[in-house]
Amino acid sequence: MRSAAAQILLALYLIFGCARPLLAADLSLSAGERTILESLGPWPAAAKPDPSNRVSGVTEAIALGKRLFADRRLSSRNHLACLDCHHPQNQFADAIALNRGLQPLTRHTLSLHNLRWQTWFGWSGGSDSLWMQSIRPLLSAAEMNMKPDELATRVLSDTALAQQIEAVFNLKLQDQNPEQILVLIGKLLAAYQETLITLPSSFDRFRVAVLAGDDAGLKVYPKAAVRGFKLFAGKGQCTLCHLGPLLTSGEFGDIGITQFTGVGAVDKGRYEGIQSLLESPFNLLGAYNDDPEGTSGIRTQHVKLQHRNFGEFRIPSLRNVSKTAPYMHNGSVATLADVVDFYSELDEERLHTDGEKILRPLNLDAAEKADLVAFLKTL
Amino acid sequence: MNIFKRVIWAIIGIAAAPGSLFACELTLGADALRAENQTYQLALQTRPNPVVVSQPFAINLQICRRGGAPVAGRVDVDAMMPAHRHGMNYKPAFETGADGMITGSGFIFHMPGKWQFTVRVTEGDQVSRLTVDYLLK
Repeated sequence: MRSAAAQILLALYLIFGCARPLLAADLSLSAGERTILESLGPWPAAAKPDPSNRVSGVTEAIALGKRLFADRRLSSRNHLACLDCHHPQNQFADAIALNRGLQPLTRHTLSLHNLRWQTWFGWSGGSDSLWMQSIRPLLSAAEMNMKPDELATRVLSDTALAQQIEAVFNLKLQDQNPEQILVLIGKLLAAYQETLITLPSSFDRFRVAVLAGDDAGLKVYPKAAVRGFKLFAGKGQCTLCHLGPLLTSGEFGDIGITQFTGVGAVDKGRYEGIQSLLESPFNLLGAYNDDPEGTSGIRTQHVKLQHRNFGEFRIPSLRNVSKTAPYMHNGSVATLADVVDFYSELDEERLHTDGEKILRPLNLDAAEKADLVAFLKTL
Repeated sequence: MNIFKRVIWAIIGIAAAPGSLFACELTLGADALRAENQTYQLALQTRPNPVVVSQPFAINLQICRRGGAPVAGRVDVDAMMPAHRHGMNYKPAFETGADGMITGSGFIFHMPGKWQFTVRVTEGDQVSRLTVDYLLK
């Protein structure tokens, strides 16, 4: 009996006692992994007002922008407010694959969190500022379908609102044409959206603990998530595109998600985005940029339309990614586990011949997939 | 000093002057990247140095014929990631100063990894290509 107990104890020791150092070795970070880990923070990242929007960071503008965000009078039939598709309880997205306004939409609603650090907006980057992006759904026939003339009439007919806008911008609305009033509304909406920032995550606390050598902080981070991070930074090469504190390069890529939106209908993605950006009077090279002498328009000035932009879509931030399902530009991937499966079994036949050459199936086993999902859930 | 000597001294002065028709020298600092082939040598400096992923940067470029003669032709600069076989998403703009210094603005490297500047020199019907590797961390 004693011998049997001793054997059991010995077995337990061999399983757990001997395994512990091996496990710890598996979870220790290499110098390269530490460098990558450090580069994914701090969070929140340093922020400054948007120079292209003169009311960026202005308290009164933020408050007024928040009210307008919930105001259905910004839509032609008083049918939609920004808030109707960007729900606070859903990370300022809508939690469904494809929404509809006056018509069915073909792109998934993006979360509005952390936009103040973005440089391109929307799935195709058709806007180069948050205020330009805020104007887009107002004018879209499929969404709010508003006309600048009608919007100006509605704003001017609400004396209290008009006076508040005049006070914030220090101007007379009567001196403004409808397009100028539209831009003012866009800048107020942007001032509010700049304040929508996610809180530091479990991953951020892990990062701080690693850099500080804080053992107590390390212990509360799931071991599976550590292994997932190592895959994310290593075998997965995810940090080639999902980098920096925002976990995105802010650029665009083609990963083989279908471009078809219906029979004979194609979403050109970034190609269309660059075209519409450069044609718009609201881009940062236009008259409405409050930073005409500055460098805010440098990306727009130099952006290059290329054939490979067909089918490219925004590389999304991964912050709070576990709360923003479904995924991809058309909302066609339901869960994070499905996203990991997608990259693990990537269909190279669907990638453009002139696209990114490093995209290859990751061929993850079940444990690796689970670890990667565990990591993503901590972001 | 007779006229003949004055002409000689003038020619020497022009040749020795920075950026002159006859003198070309790589004066960029120690942080500049350098490359050369049988015909040309160049120095390329990024601003800022190091480059930050996804952030705009500019370059200063000096290129001379070996032996110190200036380039009398066209110089084009681009950049790509050889392993990924893609270039930048942006098209830089260039200016050449009176001193021969070429400045390029609007560069953005949107991924970490090995990038490669390509400098293409066209003089008459002769085209030459130099490359400069840049590891972006």
